[in-house]
Amino acid sequence: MTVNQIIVMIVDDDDSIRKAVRRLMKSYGVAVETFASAEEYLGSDRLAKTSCLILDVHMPGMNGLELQKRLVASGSVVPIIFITAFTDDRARAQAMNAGAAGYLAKPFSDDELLGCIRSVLENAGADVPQSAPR
Amino acid sequence: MPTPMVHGAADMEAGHGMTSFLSWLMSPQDYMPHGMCFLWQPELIALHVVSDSLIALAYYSIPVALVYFVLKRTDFAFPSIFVLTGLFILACGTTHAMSVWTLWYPDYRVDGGVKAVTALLSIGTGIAIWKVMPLALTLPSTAQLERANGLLGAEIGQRQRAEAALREANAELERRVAVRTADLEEEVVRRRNTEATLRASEERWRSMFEASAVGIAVLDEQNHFAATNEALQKMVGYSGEELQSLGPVDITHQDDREATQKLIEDMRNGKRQDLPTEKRYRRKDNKVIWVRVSAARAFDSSSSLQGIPAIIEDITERKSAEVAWHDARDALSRATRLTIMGELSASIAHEVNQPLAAIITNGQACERFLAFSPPDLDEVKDAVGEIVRDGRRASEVLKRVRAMSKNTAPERGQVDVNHAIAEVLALTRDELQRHRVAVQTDLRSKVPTIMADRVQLQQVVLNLVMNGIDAMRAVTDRPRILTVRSQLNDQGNIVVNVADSGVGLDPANRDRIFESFFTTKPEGMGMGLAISNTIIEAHHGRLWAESGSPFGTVFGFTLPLAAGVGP
Repeated sequence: MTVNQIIVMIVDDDDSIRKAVRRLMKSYGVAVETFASAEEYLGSDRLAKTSCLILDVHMPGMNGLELQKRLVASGSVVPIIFITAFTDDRARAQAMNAGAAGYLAKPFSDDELLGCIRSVLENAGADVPQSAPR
Repeated sequence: MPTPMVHGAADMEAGHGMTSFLSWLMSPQDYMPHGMCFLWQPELIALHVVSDSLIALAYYSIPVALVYFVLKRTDFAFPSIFVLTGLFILACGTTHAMSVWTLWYPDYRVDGGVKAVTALLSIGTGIAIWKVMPLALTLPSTAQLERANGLLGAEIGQRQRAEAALREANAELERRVAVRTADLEEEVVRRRNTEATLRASEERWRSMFEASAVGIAVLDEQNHFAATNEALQKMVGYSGEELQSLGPVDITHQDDREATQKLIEDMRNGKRQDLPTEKRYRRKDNKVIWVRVSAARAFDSSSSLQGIPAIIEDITERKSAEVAWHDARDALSRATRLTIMGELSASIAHEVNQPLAAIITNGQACERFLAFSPPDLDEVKDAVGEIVRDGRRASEVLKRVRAMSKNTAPERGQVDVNHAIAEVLALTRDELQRHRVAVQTDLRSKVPTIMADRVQLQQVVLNLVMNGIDAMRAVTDRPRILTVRSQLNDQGNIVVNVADSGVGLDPANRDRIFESFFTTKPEGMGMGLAISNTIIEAHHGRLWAESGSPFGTVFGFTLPLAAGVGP
């Protein structure tokens, strides 16, 4: 299975969200790694391994949009799906203009998130899980 | 001495009476004159005549001198001796005169009689002199008298000096008496004036007491109204006589009685010096009025005045105005609070959405794990645990929002100030984060709970936090830090500080920021700090602002631990 090659990174300062999204991804058999802040993610060596980045917009310290800007500036093509509990059209426009793959408002449904991830990975030519693995 | 010769027979017969003796004595005699004995020799005759005459004259001069002396010295001690001596010498002189006489006339019988008389007088004088002698010897001599005189003189001198001193002392005494008298007179005048002043003062006070528009009363030892003025009688609807058997507690509204009793006791035993208090009376007609009672310290036991004087004002109107004002203030406070909550709505939505998103995601994950065969119940169990936790978290947020937004009257209770602050920070967590504001808290665990309106206090903290966020909006060159501190100061007050690292206060505005409708924000109402100030004042605290160091603003407020009962 090529599924193992797919690693979704989650950067969110909210512990509950990280755990929930990780659990959902796990139910789809997708490997997940979580980071509590943009700084933690940038400081890790997982940038190159990232198949898809699920990124919170509002975080203390560097926020999601800034992290996106940094990644784009550094030439990264990692697809980014923003999740936010704060509806802000300007932030959404900024994110999409900067090349975000998705911008989901919390609470989102699994279909929304999965659909988003699937399209991202398909674009990247990866093998995408359709249903529960095993 | 001529010797009688036998010439002529003397017809003297013994045994004849005195008359016959005298007639015998004076009868003519036939004797020879004595000159015959001298043979009438003129020389001899002349010698006798001259000698006897001179002796007689000398003798006669002596009694005259004695009489003169006795007459002049009336104080003389022994006049009788002098008289006797005078007579004796007079008699001696006469014998000599008789010697001359008998030279020519032979009256020898008379001559013998004179000599007999002289003999009697001389014997008497001799006896008298010896009798007087002891007395005469005791008479002081002239020297003695002089000495005595000298002593007397000295004594007199001394006495005179003493008298002079006495006179001087007397004069001094009189002078002092005069001065003291003047003083006393002055004192009398002064006392009279004082009395007049006192009387005037007494009248003045009495008229003030009687005509005063505020109620005045004096409590006696039994806490009854010993004296009340008309204003008080009208105020409470009782007559002066009725009040004499009533006390403050009796006419106090039942809810305020216990406090009144305690205040009076505290005044009596000196725990309190004065008693300014606002409370309710129940009038005789059962109507309730609000009064402000100012009682001075109780007179001490040494004073002739007894009891506690008190001034009672009817503040019912003011109270109702106050209540109206408080209602208006509360309404405004709520409106302001809701405005802030409106500003916070996006952040609040975020705070609720976060756990909701986690719940939904967990739920969907559960659906998938349950669809496995066999279902992955361990995962489901973990997920459900988190769902419950997140559900509670969302509920907490809503509870906070509801507490801050509810339209209820202010409520006082025991408030943990630190907990109240933490709740505000939780509510604004996202707002702070969104504005990139880092929060530093220094909440001292020793801060005790106080009697306060929690929501109102939170409104103040919320307002200060939101102001801090606004103040740091323009800051890009340094960290945006909001520091929230609580501590207990030396005066037993809780002090809360909210410091930002923002643009700081314009000194020109410092005094105006607590005014209503004063704002430096384009979309601001200018009510936040004014309302906050009112809230803190209602808690008997103080709200202030000062410049932060090195930049920004520090807002602080105090909350006394022993805050009085609010309106």
